[in-house]
This record gives sequence, structure tokens and C-alpha cells, in this order.
Amino acid sequence: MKTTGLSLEQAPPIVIPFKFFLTASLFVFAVGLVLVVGADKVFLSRWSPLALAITHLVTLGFLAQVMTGAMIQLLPVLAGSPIPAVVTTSRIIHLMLLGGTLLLALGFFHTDQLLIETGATLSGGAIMLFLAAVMVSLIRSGRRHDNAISFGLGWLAIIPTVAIGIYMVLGLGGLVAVGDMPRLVAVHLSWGLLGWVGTVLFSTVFQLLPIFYITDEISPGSRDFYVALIMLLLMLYSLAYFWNIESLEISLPIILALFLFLSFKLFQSIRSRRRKIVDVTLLFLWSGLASLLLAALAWIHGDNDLLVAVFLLGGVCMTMPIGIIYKVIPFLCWFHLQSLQVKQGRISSRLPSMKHYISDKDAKRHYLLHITAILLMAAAAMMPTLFARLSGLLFSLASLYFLRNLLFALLRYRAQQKALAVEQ
Amino acid sequence: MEQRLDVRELEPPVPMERILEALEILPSDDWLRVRHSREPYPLYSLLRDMNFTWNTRWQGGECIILIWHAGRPPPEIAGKGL
Repeated sequence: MKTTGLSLEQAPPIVIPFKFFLTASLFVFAVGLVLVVGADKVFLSRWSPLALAITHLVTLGFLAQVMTGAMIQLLPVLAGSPIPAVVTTSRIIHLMLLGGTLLLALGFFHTDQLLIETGATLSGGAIMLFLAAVMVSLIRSGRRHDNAISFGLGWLAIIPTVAIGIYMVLGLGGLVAVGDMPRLVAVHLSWGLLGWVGTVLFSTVFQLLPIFYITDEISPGSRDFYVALIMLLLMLYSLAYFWNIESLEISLPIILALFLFLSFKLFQSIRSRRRKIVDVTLLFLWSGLASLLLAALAWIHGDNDLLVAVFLLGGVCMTMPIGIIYKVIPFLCWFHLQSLQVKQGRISSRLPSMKHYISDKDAKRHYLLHITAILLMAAAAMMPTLFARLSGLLFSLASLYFLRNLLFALLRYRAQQKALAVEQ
Repeated sequence: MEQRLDVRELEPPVPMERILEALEILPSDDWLRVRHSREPYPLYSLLRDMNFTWNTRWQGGECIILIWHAGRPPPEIAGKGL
């Protein structure tokens, strides 16, 4: 029996997720700019300084901003417990992450060791602070959460990602000896993309599908099992590097196969939704799942790392979170206004529907721009001279449209908030 | 008297809208029994502001929330509910 719950004073203000998401969209714009400016260099190799800058603009600039911002807002909704001193803590995390990512990307851009070191320390620190804050909030809530294991393991995977990243940065500065750098990069990438982004992203979608689309639920036990298995395989893959056991490298294709299997489960879950309407957020999710399949096919084909990177980073890691944002932001706007209305003693006076904040038409336009940009990037990975600059231009345009949609949602929210204040 | 509401198959924000509408006209001696597919944490802050008390429990894979006017006896004490 429970009669306690979250008080409105504890709920994070809506400006917090908006701040993280708006920043994320600006980093996507930066990715487009780098593609335009360095079109002839980015697609030379995945080791080129510009490719490294882009990778970190996507993973830290976009993904880390979106994932921390979303978790800060969703923790009270999913677990009934916000992070401590939510406004101050989230402000510090946001600024450290923002500054750290900028410095790190600039460091790669100019091959400047000091900038890389400072950027890695700042962004790594931001993530560690976020993890500590989430731990405190979960302990304070005092409940066992269905999704704690899969989310927890997913977020813990960022610790080896950051640790190996910083180790490599120290290695670049000559402070420690790094043996086989390309293989260590592969271990760093695997923990980051598969361990952290992959599992947190899939856990989030598994969690949100039954809530927002009324689909069959995938049991928390089976979710936890797959995530734990992925973590175990990642540990084996790391041992392959540290102990030089080549046979353990088989772990990586098994992890990819597991993600494909999870994609199939997600696809099945989406099919089980009660209302068979296809809204644009589903298009983002389906395209993300299709990109994962394309990435796996490109990886099996094996002669174009950049193509795999485009499908994974752009196709999966950016497309799916955008779909989630378009589903979550309108609900948050509605909920915060409803709370305000109740505080004013009014209950059922009608608020605008969720479509008011981000319309289907606007989200669909962004979807078309975004997917075309990803396809052009894939073409650029094969024929850089023809498509690199064009893909950058379209990517910048798509990110500006994303920024516009988020800003409009915020402005419409503010206008509605003002109208409620006047009516009082 | 018990009023009943089943919001398990509804997409957000409809479940919360329906619950708030039902509470707005809930007579002071009645209580609302809501069948939900998950625990609606965000609803609780609104209930507190609207001066309602609630009791949540899980039964057969669904979340049952009993909501009544604060200061009134809870349904089970009054021998009328649960």
C-alpha cells in the first residue's frame, strides 16, 4: 500500500529538459557545419581528426545531453524520485557537459592536447556527477524499480567508456603507455555505443512503448537478462584486448546479434499497440531500427567502417532519441500546465492537446529532412567528393528545423502559461 | 459509494484527464477506484493539491488506485471498499 508520492515542488521545472534538448540540437548543427567546412577531410578515415570531432559532437554533444536531460525529467515520473537539488545539479551537469564537449571537439579539430585533456575531464566529470545524483535519488526513493537493473547497468557502462577515453587522452599526451591504440579505441567505442547508448536507448524505448503507445510490455526480467548479457560480453571483449585473447573477440558479433534480436522484439512490441495509428514518432523509431540492420549488414560486408558509423551514429543514435523527444516534450508541456491549472483551483478546463506544442506536420518535415541527410551521409561514406558537403548542408538544415520545433514548443508552452496566469 | 474508472488502454494524457474529470464531480462521501496499467506517479502531486487522499496497490498485474476526499474516512475503514 502506498500513499506517498512526488510533490510538485520536487518535480523538475520544464525548462530543464528543454535546456538539454535545445543544446543537443545545436550540437547537431555543429556536426552539419563540420561536415560542410571539412567535407574533403571528414570521410578520409574514421581516424581523421574531423571524424573524431564529429563522433564526440554526436555522442557527448547530442546523446549525453539528451539522455541526461531526459533522465533528470523522467526519474520522478518513472521512479517517483528526482535527483537532489535538481535545478542546481542539472545546471552544473549541463554546463560541464556543454563546455567539455566543445573543448574536446575543438581539441580534435585543432589536434590540441590541452583542449582534449580539459574537454575529456570536464565532460567525464559531468557524467560522473550525473551518475552520483541518480544514485542518491534512487536510494532516497527507497523502492525497487522494475527498470533499475537495465537502466543502471546501461549507465554504469559509461564508466569504462570515460575511463578508457581519459586513459587514451593521457596516452596521446605521452603520460602513459598505450599499446595497440586502434584496438583500445574499439573497446572504448564498444562500451560507449553498445554498452551505454545502446542499452540505455533500448531500455528507454522498452519502458516508454507501453506508456505512450499502449503496447504489450516486455518483462523487466527479460530486459535485465539481455542487458546483463551484453555487459558480460563487453567485459569479455575488453579482456580480449587487455589479456590479448583473440578468441574472445567473438563477443562483439554476438552483442550485435543481441541488439538485432532486441530490435525485433521492439518491432513486435510496436506492432502490438492498441491503436494502429502511425504517427511520426513511430517513423523515427522504425527508421532507427532499420538503420541498425543496415549498420550490421555494412559491418558484415566489412570494407567501409565509415558507413557503419553513419548508420550507427546518425541512423540509430540520433534518429531514435529524436522520436522519443517528440513524444515526451508535448506530454511534459501538457502535464506542467495541468499542474499549474490545478494549483489555481481549476481542474477540467480544457488545455490544448499535445499536438498543439509540436504538430505532426512540423515533426514530419523534420523527419524527412533528417532521414534524407542520413541517406546522403551514407552516400558520402561511399562517394565523399560527391555527397559530403551536400549531406552536411542538409544535416545543418535538419538540425535547425529540430531547434525550431523545440523552440516553438517552448514558446507555445510559455504563451499558454501566460494565458492561465491572466485567467486567474 | 464507489465510482469506477478503467484507463488501462488509454494513451497519455487521456488517463489523467479522465481521472481529474471524475474527481471534479466526485461527491464528498464517494471514492474513485481507478484501474491503471502502471503507477501514475505524476498524478499524486495533483491529488495532493486538489486535497484528495489515495491508496495504490498492485493486483493481478494492474495498478489499483483508490482516491477519496482528504479528511473523509478511507474506503476500507468505512467498510465500503477494497
